This record gives sequence, C-alpha cells and structure tokens, in this order.
Amino acid sequence: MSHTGHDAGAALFENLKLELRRGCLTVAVLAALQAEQYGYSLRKRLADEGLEVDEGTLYPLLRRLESQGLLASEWREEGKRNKRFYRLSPSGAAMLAQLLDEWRGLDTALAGLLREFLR
Amino acid sequence: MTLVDRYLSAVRFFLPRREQDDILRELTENLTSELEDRAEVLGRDLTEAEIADILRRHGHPVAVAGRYGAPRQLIGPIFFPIYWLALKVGIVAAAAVTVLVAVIAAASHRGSLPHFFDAMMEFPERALIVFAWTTIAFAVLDVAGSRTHVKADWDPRRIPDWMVGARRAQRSSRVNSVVDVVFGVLALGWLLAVPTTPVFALGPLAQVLDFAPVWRTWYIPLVVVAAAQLAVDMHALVWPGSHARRTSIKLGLLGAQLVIAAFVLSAHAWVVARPGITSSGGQSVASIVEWVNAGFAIGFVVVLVITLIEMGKQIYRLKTMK
Repeated sequence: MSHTGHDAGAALFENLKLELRRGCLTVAVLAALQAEQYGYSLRKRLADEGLEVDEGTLYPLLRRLESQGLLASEWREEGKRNKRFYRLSPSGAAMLAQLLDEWRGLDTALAGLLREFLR
Repeated sequence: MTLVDRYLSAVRFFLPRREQDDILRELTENLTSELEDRAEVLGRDLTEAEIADILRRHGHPVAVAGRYGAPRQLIGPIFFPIYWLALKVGIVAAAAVTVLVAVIAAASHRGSLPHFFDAMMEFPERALIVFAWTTIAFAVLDVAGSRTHVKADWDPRRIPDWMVGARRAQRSSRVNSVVDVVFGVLALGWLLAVPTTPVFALGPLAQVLDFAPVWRTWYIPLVVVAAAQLAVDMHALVWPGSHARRTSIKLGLLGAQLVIAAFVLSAHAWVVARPGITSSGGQSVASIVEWVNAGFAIGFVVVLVITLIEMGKQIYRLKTMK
C-alpha cells in the first residue's frame, strides 16, 4: 500500500473508531454516573475500566447530557476545593435502561454476525 | 500569569460569553485535579514541560472551546470558534465601511440624507457577501482539515497574547488614566471655550470665518459626550482595574461619538464666511472657506476611523475581561 493510501486508511479507521466509540461512551458515562463523580474522577474511573477518554471529549459530553436532563449536577466542596459533581438523574436512569436494552439487542445481533471473526 | 492561567484564558476567549464563567470554573477544577494527581504520582512538583504536555493533550484552546458548542453540520467544532470570530469581525468591518461610504456620499452631496440612506442600503448585500465567503472559506478549511487529519501539534507555551487577553497597557494603567483625564479636561475646556473664543479652533482665520449652522445642532451633544467620557476616565483613575460596566459605557459613548461625527461630517460645510467679508490677505474668503472645509472633512474621516479602532479595542477588552 502506498504511503498516501496507508494514511487515508489510517484516517478512515480513526473516523470509524470515533463513530463506534461515540455511542458507547454515552452509555458508559451514564452507567458510571450511577455513583456520583466529578469530571476528572469520572475520567479516571473510565480509564481504570479500560476506557480512555480525552478531556476534550468527556467534559463537554457531561454538560451536554446534563442539558438534556439525563444528568444532574451540583457544586460541592471536597478536599478544600469546590467541584462539580454529576450523577444520573431519574430520566437518565430510565434512558440508560432503554439504551441497555438496545445494547443487548445489538450485542446479540453482532455476536451472530461476528461468530466467524471471533472464533 | 502561569501557563495554566494563560491556557484557560485562551479557552475563555473562544467560549460564548454567557457560559464562560461556568465552563472555566469546571475546567479549572478538573485541570487542577489532574495536575495535582500527576504531581502526587511523581512525588514532586511538575516541570513546565510536564504541565505543557498535559495541556497539549487536553487540546488546543480553540478546539476545547469548540467542543462545548452545539454540534455543527457545515463547520466542525475545531474551526467554528475561529469562524464565528471572523464572521463577527467581517460583519462589523462591513458595517464600518458602509457607514464611512454613506457619510462620504452624503457629504459630497451637500449633506443629502437620501444619498446617506441609499449608501446604507448597501449593507445587507455587503454583509451577505462577507457571510457567504467566510462560510465557504471555513467549510473548505474544515473539509481539508478533516481530510488531512491536522494534528493538534501545538505548544501551550506559545499561546499568543491576544488569545489570553494580556494587555501591555495594564502595566501602566494608572499612567494611562492620568493621561486620559488630562486630555479629557483639556478637550472639554477647549470645547466649552470655542463658542466664545473661536480663535481657539480657527486661529487667525476666526476674523473672517464663522462656524456653520450644523454646529448649533450638534454642539450640545458633543459637549455631553465629552463630559461623560471625562467622567468615565476619572472613575477609572479613582477606581483602577477592569470593570465590564465601565467598558460598556465607554463603548456606548464611543458609539455616540461616532454617530455625532458621522452626522456632522454629512453637513458638508463646517465653516462659512463672516457676513460682508470677501477677501483676506489678498485671498478670496470663498477659497479660504473651501480649503478649511476640506481640512475639516479629512479631520472628520480620521476621527471616524480612530473611533472605530477604539471601539474595536473596547469590544476586545470586554471579550477578554474576566
């Protein structure tokens, strides 16, 4: 493969990977925020579980989910500093349950389709 | 100002004003936690290079600010804050050019209001052209950027001062305030003295020239604006520092000054010959009037341009105010 072709392939992979991760990330964040977290601690929690997310993606996502009513937040002092803690709102919990149903459906479908690849 | 402060100030510059404080507060907290966490792991203070590395991973200020915006279809989050800034600057420049052209058009037709309004009607078309070209240029830039996968290869230690809102003038703001007040007092005193002592404005020509009727309409507003500007400058001298309300008032007064200057300029004639005088020093008074009026016209265009530049500075100051 030529150098340009290789670059284009890598760029396409990056794009597709981003698309694949985008939806999963929302589910992961909603799931992780069943327990209260602030931005940086959530990022560490996700990283501990093997899901590295850069700050530029995670922090705006938290605000967006909050503006959609799926998360609730409050400023509170911890370690002598004020931090914004996020947690799942009741509608966020309902949404998470719906998304998990969808997830299970997709998982079953993909397990069938990918049987050969995963063997 | 530390490297982190500079970084956060640069992010603030590109954020929508109503959300700046809230986003910055949270971002500061998260960054501080991360820096402390890293320092704790290493068991020592972080070096500047290590801090720069964390900031670099965090993303360029333009990109970080862009990600906090709503999802865009045509221009992505990385380019959107710059596009938005360029669009605003372009539209303001189009408005300024339109006003200048309209005033000059009116002035060259003896202060004709229809000519002024005709020229002002060009603004929508001019604004549309600015909008179209800016949008096309940024859309192309965005597509090219995403195709070539422009890496955020940047150095947080080289964030330019204009993004951070660091103004050298701040170091000598007290001196600037004193200068502003002194010049304000002189300007107001001069304005108040001119009606009774026209020689202050016209020099020896005051014997043959008189002020045109336009000044009777605009003299009082001019004095009021000058007095208000002096009051604002005195306030800045007594209570130094950055105040959004004071900057807004200053911006409003500059706007008033712009309007007054534009209307006075549109009068076309600012001095007239004194009755019964036809020549002075071997020259016809008519030609003296013509030369002096030409000088006034040039002077007013310069005042308009300087006022627009000063307004731009105040808008920038408001935008970078913490």
